[in-house]
Amino acid sequence: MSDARTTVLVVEDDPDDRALLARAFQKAGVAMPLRFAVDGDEAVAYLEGAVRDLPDSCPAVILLDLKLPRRSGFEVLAWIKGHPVLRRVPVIILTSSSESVDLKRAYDLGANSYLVKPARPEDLLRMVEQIHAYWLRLNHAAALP
Amino acid sequence: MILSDARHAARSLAPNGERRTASERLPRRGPALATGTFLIAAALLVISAVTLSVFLGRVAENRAFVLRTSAILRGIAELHVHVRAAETGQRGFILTGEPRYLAPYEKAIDLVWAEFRSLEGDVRDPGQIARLHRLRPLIEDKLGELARTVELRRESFEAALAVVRTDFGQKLTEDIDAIIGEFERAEQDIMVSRSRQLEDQAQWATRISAFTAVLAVAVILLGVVWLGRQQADAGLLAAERRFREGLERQVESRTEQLTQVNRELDAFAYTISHDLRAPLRAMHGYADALAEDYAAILPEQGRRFTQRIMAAASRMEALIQDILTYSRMSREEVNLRPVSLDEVVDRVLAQVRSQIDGSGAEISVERPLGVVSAHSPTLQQAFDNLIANALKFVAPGEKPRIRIRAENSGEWVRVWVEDNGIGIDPAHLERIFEPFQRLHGVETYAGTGIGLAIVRRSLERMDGRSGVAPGEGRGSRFWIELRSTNAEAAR
Repeated sequence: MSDARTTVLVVEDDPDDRALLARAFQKAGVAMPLRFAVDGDEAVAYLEGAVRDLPDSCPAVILLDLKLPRRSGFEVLAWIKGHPVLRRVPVIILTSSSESVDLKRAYDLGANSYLVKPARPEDLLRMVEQIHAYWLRLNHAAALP
Repeated sequence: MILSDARHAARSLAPNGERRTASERLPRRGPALATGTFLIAAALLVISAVTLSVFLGRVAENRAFVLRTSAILRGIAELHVHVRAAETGQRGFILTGEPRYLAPYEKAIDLVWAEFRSLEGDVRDPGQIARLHRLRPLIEDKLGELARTVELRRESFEAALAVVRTDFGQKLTEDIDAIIGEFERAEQDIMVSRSRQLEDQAQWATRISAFTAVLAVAVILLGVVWLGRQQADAGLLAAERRFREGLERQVESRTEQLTQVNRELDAFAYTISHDLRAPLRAMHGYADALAEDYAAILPEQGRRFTQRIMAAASRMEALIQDILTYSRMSREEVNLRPVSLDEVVDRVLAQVRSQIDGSGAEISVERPLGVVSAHSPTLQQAFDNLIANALKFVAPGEKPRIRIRAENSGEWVRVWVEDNGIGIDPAHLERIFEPFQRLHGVETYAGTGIGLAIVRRSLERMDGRSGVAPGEGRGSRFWIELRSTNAEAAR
């Protein structure tokens, strides 16, 4: 890791999904703190603040749901990928839709990965373990400023 | 369902298109015939007009000829008169000796040659020219004889009389009379024949002009008919174009409606996939958390209940997954291209490897299965369901045996998936391809009842067919059929 960024931003409106995801991260033994945003606007506001005040507090990776109140996941994604600095942060789409239109649009907008929310808790745990192994350990992130 | 409506709309356009080209072809023959007739009549009109003008030219020529002939006849008569007048003057002078008789004689002599030259100028007929040649020396001799006798009379009456009495002059006069008579008769014959020709030609000219007039009328009539036809044709085409445009607009608006409906369906499917699954994940996740985190304090009954909650959530997740697959099968684009059946079957078998190993199933694939025109993910979906069915529906305690083989009938390749399972009651053979049809309770065989509907729909989308053969003894024999790419290439 070339960088001190250690948080994971989870943009997710469903409280159950947030709770179960947090549980899965905990079970997977991921030490990184999770920062939650409950809608698109909050995610954008948080990211703007982070990049302005303290670039090191920017997330190492962003888990982004597509269907969100207010600003949608696609809008947030477009905003991030259009941002001069934040566009280097890996964005992993985490949604329940496996519609090909959504996949195409997400990748067109610059998503780094696309995951479908698993139905079974054991599958969710496996997914979190793999996110941790790949995106937070194996993958090299670019410095932000 | 909506999409199949769209297909009907598209199909119903085709016969219209055919009818249109047929109706275009039919009246085409009419104008071609009319145009041909019109052109032939016009050509005939031009030919007869040219002939008429040639004939009229000949008639004019003949008329001039006849006029010249009558002038020649008048000229020869005048010549005759002048010769006679010269002789009369000579005789008067010889008898009387009075010089006043010489005046008509001298005047006649001048006129004789003037008339002769004029005749020579007019005459064209070679016979008549020869006659004039014979006449010239006779007239010269006659005038010579007259001049000599006049000279002699100035000396003496007797000397002149002696010359007259030789009858030489008389002989010349008779010869001249004969030739002139001959000339006149010949000229009259010429005139008669020419007049007859003139008459004939005039008659022909009349006939031709009558024919020309009839042709002209015919051409005008045909022209009017032809123009009318053209106009009617143009009107028909315009009406047809309007009809076609109307139809196109209709198709466009219908397509737009369908697209709208499709978008709504998409939104609906999206909602199902997202909103319905979220609480399900929560149920499943919390039940799991309960079983894990509170296992110690949960009684046996409580642990069983949480297991039931998780099993129910799994079933519902599978159902939603199948409904989405089924609806996506109808909505998403399916592009047909050559697909290797062996590769697709291999991929599906790799996916269900754990199930196969778990059940100890024997699967035999009779290779090569061949190459068909299909959409790989859709075909995979179909095989996935067929093989899952074959693995699932076996009698308890039995090992599934599955045989996959292909029959190539040239145009079609039929792939059989045969098992040793519980088979299907013949009464339900067709019903099982409809969605949500279950023949067994959930307790006996898990499943959503959509698997075979997905098989049928996926084959339909790939222009293929699917079915099940009545089993002989135990087991089921499912088949799917797709176009062979060899046949495709041959076409």
